[in-house]
Amino acid sequence: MIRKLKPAAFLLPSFIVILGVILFPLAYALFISFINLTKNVHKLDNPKLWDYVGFENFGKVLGDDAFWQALGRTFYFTFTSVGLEFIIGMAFALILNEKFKGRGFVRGFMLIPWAFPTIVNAVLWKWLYDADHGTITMLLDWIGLTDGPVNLLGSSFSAMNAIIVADVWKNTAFVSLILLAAMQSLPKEAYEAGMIDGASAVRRFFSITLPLLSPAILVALVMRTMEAFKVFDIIYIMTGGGPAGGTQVLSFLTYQSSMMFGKFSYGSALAFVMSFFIVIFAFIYIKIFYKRAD
Amino acid sequence: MERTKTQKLFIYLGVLGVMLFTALPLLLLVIATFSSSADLSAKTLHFLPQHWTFGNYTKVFSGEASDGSLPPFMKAMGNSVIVALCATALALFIGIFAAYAYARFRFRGRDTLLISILGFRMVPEIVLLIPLYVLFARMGMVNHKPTLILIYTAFNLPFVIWMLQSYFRSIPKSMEESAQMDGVSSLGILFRFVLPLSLPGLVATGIFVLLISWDEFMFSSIFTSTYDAKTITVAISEFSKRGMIDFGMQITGGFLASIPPIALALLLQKYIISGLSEGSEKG
Repeated sequence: MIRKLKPAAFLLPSFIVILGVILFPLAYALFISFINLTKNVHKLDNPKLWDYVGFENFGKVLGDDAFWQALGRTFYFTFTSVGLEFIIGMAFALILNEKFKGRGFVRGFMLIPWAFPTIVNAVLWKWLYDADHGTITMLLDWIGLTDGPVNLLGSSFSAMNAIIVADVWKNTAFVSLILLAAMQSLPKEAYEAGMIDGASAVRRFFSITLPLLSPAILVALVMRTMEAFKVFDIIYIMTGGGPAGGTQVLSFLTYQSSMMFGKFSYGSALAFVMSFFIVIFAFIYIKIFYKRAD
Repeated sequence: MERTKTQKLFIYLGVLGVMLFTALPLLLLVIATFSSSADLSAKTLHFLPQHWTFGNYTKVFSGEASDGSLPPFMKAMGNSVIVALCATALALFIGIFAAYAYARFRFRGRDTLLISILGFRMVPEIVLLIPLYVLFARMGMVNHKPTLILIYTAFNLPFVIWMLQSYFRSIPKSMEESAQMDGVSSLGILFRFVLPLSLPGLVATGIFVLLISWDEFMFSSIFTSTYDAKTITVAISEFSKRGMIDFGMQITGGFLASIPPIALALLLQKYIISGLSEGSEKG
């Protein structure tokens, strides 16, 4: 009897917290998405069972142009920023994997953007892009890339890409450090064989390094993809979803419709539709670990 | 592999590239915090201000609070320290017991539960924002630090359990088994043998949770309304809302708020690096 109770006693506190703050709210969110709950100016309505509207909110989401546009932007943001983080992160990891003086210092230094708070990063880049006196704005004008100072956050396309640059600056280090850690545990023999065969450095990278690194690459990419897909903070600070909704991504649309406009049920449905994509990424992630455990 | 001189040159050029990439935005940030508002609003390209000043710092540290006590920045920093430390301590404390049960006990449904833990780790926070807001608002629990602490603890708990159980599993069982023979209880074994041996894992997991809690913005922005509970991320986002955007204050406050996590990361970098590589191998 005691033997059976012991695991239960050890697990109980974690069960209570996860049940209360994750599992129950998750079920509650599902409930909210099937009723019609809104917040009026003065008070929050009581969620009521008889307000059941079936799949109406989900129908509204899928029939909403704003949703499809936000989905497109979210995918654009996710794949562009994760892609860039991967390419730059790989290049950095290859450099840091070489022997050079001060390697430990450079590696420690790379942790700074990683530890740098997302909100501060957003504030910093917003200032660098400032239309009137941002350093980047001025620099682009000075080089002659733009004709006079241009407000990079003022048009949809450039605003989205400007945000991507800011995100890439902060998150490349994470990808890079994971790849570097994996590189350092690669077997030396594979390289020595490649050297004897006289394979070029580029050849060795594509036929030895890349395949051997593929598990770590997958992990880094899936983890970053799941994070980037949920992008919120940096958008909130830098553009607030603007200009004219040009950087409106799924997280922000959900936040805006529920917390700013009080459409809780629509927002919940939207959050679940968004989670559908996260679940796909999560499956890929779990699959990778299972394949490795076998 | 010995490198030729040309190759070495390219390596050092690459290193220079890495350093510039990382350092330039930070350098501009630090310089901006010491620039006068005239320099910050100059419409010409310049990298160094014409007037160096501590003005932004005094503004951040003075600033009037609604109740006349500490300036908002200091209050928000204090709130962030309390919330992040408490959430980390709680998540580790609760997580240690759960992780130990998953790593060492045999019970029905163990593997299923462990997989669901991994699943909970991936629940997008925004799905929980709406129901938690509705629940806590109706219970009158918004704008309280304990509410934020509870939320951060819960969100980090699956990650903590997952990381710690994998660390615990990597510790050889032999010592525990002989202690068990001597009649040492499970709790005794956990605290006397397992925890001291998995200290690096505890530190790495703790730093991750601490940094994530320090960084959190979305929930804090919704669940706090006054400086009784507002965390530093929310405070920074609001330095701009008082009529005009005060970039000097925002950037200086932001710089100061980024010092604790950066210092922590640099001081404990060997744990973070091992945590990152561990994370990429075991999830």
